Amino acid sequence: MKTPMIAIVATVLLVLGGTAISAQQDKYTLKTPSGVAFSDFRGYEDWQVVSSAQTDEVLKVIVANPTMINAYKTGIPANGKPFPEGSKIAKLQWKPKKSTEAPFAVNVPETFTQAFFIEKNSKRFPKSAGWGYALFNYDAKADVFAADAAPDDCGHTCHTAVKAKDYIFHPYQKR
Amino acid sequence: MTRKSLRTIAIVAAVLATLGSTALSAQDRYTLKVPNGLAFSEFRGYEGWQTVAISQNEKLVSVIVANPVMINAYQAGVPGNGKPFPDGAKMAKIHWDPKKNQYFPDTTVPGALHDVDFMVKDSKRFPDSAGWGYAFFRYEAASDTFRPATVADNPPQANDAKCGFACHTIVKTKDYVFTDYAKR
Repeated sequence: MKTPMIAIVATVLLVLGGTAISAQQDKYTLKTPSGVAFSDFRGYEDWQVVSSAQTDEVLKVIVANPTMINAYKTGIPANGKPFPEGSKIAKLQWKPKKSTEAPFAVNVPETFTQAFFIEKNSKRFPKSAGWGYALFNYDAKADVFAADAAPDDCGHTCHTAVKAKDYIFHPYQKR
Repeated sequence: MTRKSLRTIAIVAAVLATLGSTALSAQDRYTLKVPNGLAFSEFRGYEGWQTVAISQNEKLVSVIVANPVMINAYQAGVPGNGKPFPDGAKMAKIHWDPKKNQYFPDTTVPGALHDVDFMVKDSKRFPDSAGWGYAFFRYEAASDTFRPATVADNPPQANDAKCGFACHTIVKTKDYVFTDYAKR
């Protein structure tokens, strides 16, 4: 029996469709081992700058959602008040490279490597002062994100160093 | 009215005048203008613009931000796709003195604000510099004020909007913009 043309076309379209879908990961379906979803931080790509940081191996930009930026601008956490529910902050990390274009020596981002997230939700995260932590690693070669295997409470353990600043290291940087 | 109450009024008025002028001394940066060049107010709102990228060397830490017109252009593939940034594109480079993070000694974080540099694309206004106008405002932390940079600053700034053009021609093929939109 001759295969109808429509079946061939349908098969080709299915294969093409499958390729297109697999080539583009939907990072927002990812969750950390304890269940913090990447999608909780949807839109982080466009958040405003809080500050930056760098070591010899990493360039970092710290950005926050509008709730948290507004809180910073009212004086939190230096005024002793905690960040409000719904505050979200991200630390985006890149491997640096020496600029080949700038007329002076300067490091610029080469490869994106990691996205660290923290969100304030006192009901969901009562054991860590209301903050939930998540870490997603980015594999530049495969262009995919993956949740880090470390337990989420490691973030809180580290951040207790700045308990007096509602567990947030970075102040909003004057500009 | 007694002589005494008149004197009281005069003292109160003098105190109020002093307080008033103290309050007014907080600088309105948006009244600044480079002589014969760009006004700070042309970049109003840059404090909330989105991040393009970060850069750093031993002298300065910088974050590069851009207005929505420019961010949208970056996300559409400009300048890698060979197209120029559209008129109305604006970007700012915010420089801070570096300082050691008090919690992580191997980490450098921003210290005092050092300067803010701006670029704006306006083909009609800046035809001699490929459509880009440049401005550079130095921040003086001691007095908490900005001032237009001069030829004594680094890089030197003459009284026009072309200070950055000579340097940025190195990246002419990227529409004169050094910084790439960093993947995130």
